[in-house]
Amino acid sequence: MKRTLVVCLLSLTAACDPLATGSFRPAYLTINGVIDGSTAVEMPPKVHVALLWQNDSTPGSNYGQQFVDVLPQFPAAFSVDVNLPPNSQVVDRLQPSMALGIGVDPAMSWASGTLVVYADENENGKLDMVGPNDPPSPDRVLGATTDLDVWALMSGKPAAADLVGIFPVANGFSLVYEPPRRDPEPGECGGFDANGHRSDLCPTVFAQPSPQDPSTLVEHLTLADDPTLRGFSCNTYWGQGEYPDWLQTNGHDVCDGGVCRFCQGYQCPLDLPQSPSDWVKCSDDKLSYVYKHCKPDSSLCGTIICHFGHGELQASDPVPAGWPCP
Amino acid sequence: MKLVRAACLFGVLLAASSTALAEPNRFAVIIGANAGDAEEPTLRFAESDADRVAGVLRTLGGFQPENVVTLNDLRAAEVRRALISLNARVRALSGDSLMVVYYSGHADADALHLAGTHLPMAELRDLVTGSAASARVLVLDACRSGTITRVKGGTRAPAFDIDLALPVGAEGVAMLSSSAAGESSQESDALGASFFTHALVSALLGAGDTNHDGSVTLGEAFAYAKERTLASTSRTVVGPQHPTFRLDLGGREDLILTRPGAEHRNVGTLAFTRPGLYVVHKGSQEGPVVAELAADDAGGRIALDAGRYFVTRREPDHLEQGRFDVAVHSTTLVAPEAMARLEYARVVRKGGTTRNIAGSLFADGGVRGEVFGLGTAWRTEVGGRVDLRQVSLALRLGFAQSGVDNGRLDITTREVSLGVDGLRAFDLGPLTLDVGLEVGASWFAQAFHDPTPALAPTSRTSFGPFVGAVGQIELPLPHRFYARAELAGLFYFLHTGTSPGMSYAPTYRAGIGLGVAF
Repeated sequence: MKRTLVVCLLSLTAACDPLATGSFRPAYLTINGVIDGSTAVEMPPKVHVALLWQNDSTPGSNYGQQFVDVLPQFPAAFSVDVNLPPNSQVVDRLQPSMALGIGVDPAMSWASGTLVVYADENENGKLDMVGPNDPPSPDRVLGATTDLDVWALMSGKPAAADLVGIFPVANGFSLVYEPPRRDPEPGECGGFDANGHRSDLCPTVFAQPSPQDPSTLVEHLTLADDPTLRGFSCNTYWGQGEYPDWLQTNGHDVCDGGVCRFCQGYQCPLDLPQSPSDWVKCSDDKLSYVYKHCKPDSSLCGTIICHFGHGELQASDPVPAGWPCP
Repeated sequence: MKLVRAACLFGVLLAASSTALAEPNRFAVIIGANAGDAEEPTLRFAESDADRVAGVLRTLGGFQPENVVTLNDLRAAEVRRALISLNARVRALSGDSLMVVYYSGHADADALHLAGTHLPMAELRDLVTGSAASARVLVLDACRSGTITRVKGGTRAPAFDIDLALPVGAEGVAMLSSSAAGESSQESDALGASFFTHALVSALLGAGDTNHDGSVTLGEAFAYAKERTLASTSRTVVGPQHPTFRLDLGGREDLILTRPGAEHRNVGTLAFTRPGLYVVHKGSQEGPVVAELAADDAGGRIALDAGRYFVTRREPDHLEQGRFDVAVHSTTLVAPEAMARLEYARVVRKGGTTRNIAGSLFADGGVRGEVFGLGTAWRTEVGGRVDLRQVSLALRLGFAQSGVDNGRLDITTREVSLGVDGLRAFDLGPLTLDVGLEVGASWFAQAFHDPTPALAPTSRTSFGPFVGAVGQIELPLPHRFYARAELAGLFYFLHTGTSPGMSYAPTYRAGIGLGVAF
């Protein structure tokens, strides 16, 4: 009897798992990386890697979490276990009608983020975020990933694979490589037809982003003393680079009367460069052009917002006034 | 002369006029000596026994206060002088008279031991039997050092004989002895007296009035004291104590020692409407035992000073208890409706009945505090309990469930626990307080829900022991039910994976519930 009891107890113990405590948070995703070096003038004794969640459509929602300490002895390997979901403030979703139009699950919600490396100057253990009108953050951002996005599908079904880089295309958490952007070439942004001027969206051009395997990916970062990195500690910042101005609108603004900030669709007025300093590129036959008019948006913590304009003529068309390609 | 062996000895030497004393001149020398020889342990109750005997003789026996000489903690010479003086007073009287000499203290075969001095037994006997009183009673409730049981503790010493034989020509002399040869007289801490003196006093208060005529004769008192002493000592470590007696009544009627049925100053009566064994405490249950009544029929009465008394009636498997106020010159009925039946577990703890084990089943509901950050758990449990005299044991099967959202996962933890309690119970008025230790083991089943569409971890099962301290309060309810409340402080020991080896977590458990005794 006694022996049976002991055997039973041992069996129970042997078949048991460790008890999951209240702090049991298995990682959704582990991001491995290396800080290759630094051109920063002043290096703190310790730098920190954080996952910075960003939401372009809810100003002021950016925040950092999953902080990892790294000694600045380069190359310095780091590993970020993403075991907390993003807060609801950074979770984005489409209006159902738009979702149906795009062909994604209306129940889909998601968040995306990037990695930043910062010096915790006030040593409070977190990346201090400030608003666009606030004094600069006490913390100093030393680097950020520019070609890797972290995606988190929070509800609904993932989007189709061809929408990678725009919506989450995988369940749970995933990594997506975002190749560098380039400016559009003349003729890439549409043209005119018999109905008159046509002005389609003409943003920077993306190469096709691609999902990454977290188990094999090693993200490389270089630290720099770059003032533009300060934007990552501002809660409305979109990121480095140039962002098309239509991202600041909601939905498709059709303004045939020409009263909108920009016109999209038919019967739009000709989109001419707004300033002599605007970057303009004409086609060889001078029948088409693209231009961009960029300026930092202080409400977005200095995010560079560009209007990518363009125009095209038929060879038989008279040259309109102000045509930038003489 | 006959030698009566006794480790502790009691003797009554009676030289009695046989008729009931109507209004005799009554004298008493009551001697109590807690201290004997230097090497003898100090007795606890010898002097208080003497006081009780003196009190009942004054109150109910018709002894004028000035005729009762109480000699506590005195030496042999002073006792000798007191006896000689009293004899001189008796010789000066005419008519019937009674002299009672009572001794409680250490003694051996040859002498009483009085605070380091000795009063030879032969001299004491001569002083009593040689008295001019027409009735002479000598009571010796004496114990030799080392033979006191405690019940009287102490180390048993060789028994000794004592000469209590009646002298030749001592007509009307009766000899009573609380213990037979070779036996030890015993004290009881619970009674706060020697068994025999307690029974004797109870008899004199009225318990011995078996014919219900309102008077307690010497024969009645002795018969009652003998029966109760034998019954009370039958289960002690030392063993039963058999009171014996010798008397030569010379054809006279038995001597009336007390009249509990008559009116006395500041005295009232408890009247028992049913037969049974009753114990009467002064004031409350924790008060001193003032009397014991063993009645084979209804109509038993005990005369007591006015005041409040706590009465316990013992049945083979249960107790009945009640509080009663005794008023001067009035009779208070100890009736069934005025008594409450005592819950079984209490009966076991209290003893005095044949029941030495009680059981109950219970069911509780409550909470268990957070363990390892897994949230407070609602819990319920069922269990069984066994109450023994000194300890109570409980086996309990509990079910609990808690939930916690740690921002990453919703963790639902279900616990099945099996525990054993070892408890010490304290009956405090209507409540019973239990304190003790609990050991047991719990089986945990955990399920994880991930609010995101990510893959949740698979469920887990874990097993680990717990130990802690537990306190309970129980309140009797009608029909054998009782309400219970519990608070426990526990330590759980489990593998958590967060550190090598076992991790421990303190927590609490609280609950209320119901139980039923059987």
